[in-house]
Amino acid sequence: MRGFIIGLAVAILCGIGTANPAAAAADKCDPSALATKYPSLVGKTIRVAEDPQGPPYAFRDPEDFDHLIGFDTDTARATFACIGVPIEFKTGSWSGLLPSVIAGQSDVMWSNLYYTPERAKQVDFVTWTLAATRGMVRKGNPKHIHSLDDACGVRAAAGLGTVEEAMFRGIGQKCVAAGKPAPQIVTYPDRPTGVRLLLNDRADLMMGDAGGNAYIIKQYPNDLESGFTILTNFKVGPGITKSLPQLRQAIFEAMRIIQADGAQKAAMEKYGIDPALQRPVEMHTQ
Amino acid sequence: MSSDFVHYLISRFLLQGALLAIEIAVISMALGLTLGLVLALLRLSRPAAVRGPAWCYIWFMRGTPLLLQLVFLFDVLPVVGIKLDTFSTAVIGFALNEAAFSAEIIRGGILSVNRSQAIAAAALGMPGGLTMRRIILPQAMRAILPGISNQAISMIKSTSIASVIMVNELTFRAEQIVGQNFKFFTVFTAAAVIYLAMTSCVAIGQIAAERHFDSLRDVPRNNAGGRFDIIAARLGLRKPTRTPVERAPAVRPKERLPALIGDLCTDDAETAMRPVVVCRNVEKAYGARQVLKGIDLTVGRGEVVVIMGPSGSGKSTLLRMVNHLEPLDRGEITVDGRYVGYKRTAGGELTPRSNLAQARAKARIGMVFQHFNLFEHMTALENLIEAPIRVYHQPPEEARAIGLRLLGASASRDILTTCRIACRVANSSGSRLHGRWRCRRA
Repeated sequence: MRGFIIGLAVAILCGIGTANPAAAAADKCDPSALATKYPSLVGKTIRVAEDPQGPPYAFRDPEDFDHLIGFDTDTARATFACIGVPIEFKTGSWSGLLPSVIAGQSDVMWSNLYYTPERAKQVDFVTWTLAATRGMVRKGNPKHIHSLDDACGVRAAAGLGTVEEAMFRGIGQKCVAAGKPAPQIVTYPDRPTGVRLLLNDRADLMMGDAGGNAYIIKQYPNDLESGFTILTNFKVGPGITKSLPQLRQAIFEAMRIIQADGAQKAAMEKYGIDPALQRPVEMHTQ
Repeated sequence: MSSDFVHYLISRFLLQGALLAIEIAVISMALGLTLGLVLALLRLSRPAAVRGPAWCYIWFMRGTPLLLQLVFLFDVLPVVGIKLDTFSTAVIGFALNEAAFSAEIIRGGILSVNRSQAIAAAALGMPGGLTMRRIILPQAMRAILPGISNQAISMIKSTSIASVIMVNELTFRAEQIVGQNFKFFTVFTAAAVIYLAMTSCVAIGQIAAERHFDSLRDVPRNNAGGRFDIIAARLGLRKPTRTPVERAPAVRPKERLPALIGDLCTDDAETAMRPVVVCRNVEKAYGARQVLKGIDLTVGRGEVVVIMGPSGSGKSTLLRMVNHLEPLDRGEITVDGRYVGYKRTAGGELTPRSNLAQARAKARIGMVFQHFNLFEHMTALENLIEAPIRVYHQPPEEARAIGLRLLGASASRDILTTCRIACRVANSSGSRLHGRWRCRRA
């Protein structure tokens, strides 16, 4: 009887021990195990495409312009250090990054890329934050814009072709239905141009990525302030080439580890991104 | 603020971008100009099968945006297996695009050279390639250089387009700095100054090149030079000095030209009476207009024959047909017993041979044109020795000696060996080289 109980206890313990192999494996980075875990990545240098014009996600270190920093840059470095694969950053303007991954000229795009099912037809995604939009106004909020609904009749600036521009057009219809004038939409090709529009009183409201606009407000504390923030449904994370399935798996697991041990949250706080935007790591292949 | 500006102006980060822009621009211009020259020559060829593809290439490459061409090379070619890195893509993309624009500029320059220059070269028996290289292109450079300099300056600045294919040149680097510190005025002004420095080098190069090719300027005989030469000398970029005026061997001062030519030509008693030029039943029509019909003519050795007739009667046409500058419709012409560039077929017809230049060279017929058609960009001496050296492969020293003796019959030898033809023509009154002299040189 005692032997039976001991045997049962051992069996139960062994069962518990082997019950969550995934959890056990996700706890720690193991770069030296690259050859066993992801053999197809051995000997490769992964090319990470970024646009360094977008603080705080990817930008040039003011102390040393040759050095890239930012939330996306730092977490990319951490992720691949965890996997055990060397990387090389390929910098270019944003609109050319995703085509370069699709064409095979780069392997990963890690530059504040939103997941959409359309894009997932061409690249795989591993997402871990939620996108938020911040409306930025001049100091003192002279036009009293506290939410998107207050945007009727103001001069509204957004990036060309962005989600925010689409939001303004949607609001425009609501304003007109309520008998108020629609917002005058002004588009800009890059954020510094948009900032100049706001500072020079050619626009009243500039809407863009929450983290990005927070960074801008830090640069101009006496001239700009935050009007409001909107949470979107967009999930954000690196876009990965479909031609290396093990790469996708490797990034997924590494990002889970980085999230679990708090490194992601620390990076978000360092770069002024609201930590509440953190979301569980998910893989999207369509 | 100004120390900030200087800090960006000399920052290694921006200067490396400038270096990259220059590398791309220099290599692309070199490749683009070479291909552009080829395309221009193809477009100027006679067969439509050669002109057509060249025109299509130019039409397509000029007509589509450079940005799309670069993206295509970088992101679409990998689909068919051609994967290029960013630098190669940029260089190839810019070169292919530049070729189309350069081709038109070069073609325009070539067309601006008087057609008579090509005819004169053909009369001397110069093949097409030699004519293009020695006669046409040097004179076309005056028209080509400003356009090409424009293209070079544009290319240095438009390397910024390549940021979409990950080329980190000067403008993109400046944008990245501005993207994180928002000091757009300071940073962009510094970048603009760097661009200005680079493009100014091209502008200075253009001035130097134009001085070299401008045949309307008198080459100063004593090399005192203007300010530019002084600066160039200080910088160690002095132009090579022109060869000093040559002293020919002592020549009797009033040597008469016919005697001199008699000296230089071999005299063969046996062929003394043989007919040299024989035309039999020559016919020529331009379209529906019959210009010559049933012409017979025999010119013996040593004879001087004058052909007279009203304007448009076909005198020049007949003369040009002797040298095969114009094709024969019917009949035959022989020079010294041989056809010039024709062969007789089995059926008794005369058909043109392929290498006309060689045939004309072999026939050794000298021509003086109605407007003399001297090579404008060369000196009188160079005009004299060009064909002997290049076509008949006479040793240069020998040709120069003969040329100097021939020039020696005129008093102003040193002018004729240093000043280009065009500059003498440009002087109206007091010009030493009026009609009679030009006739002698031709």
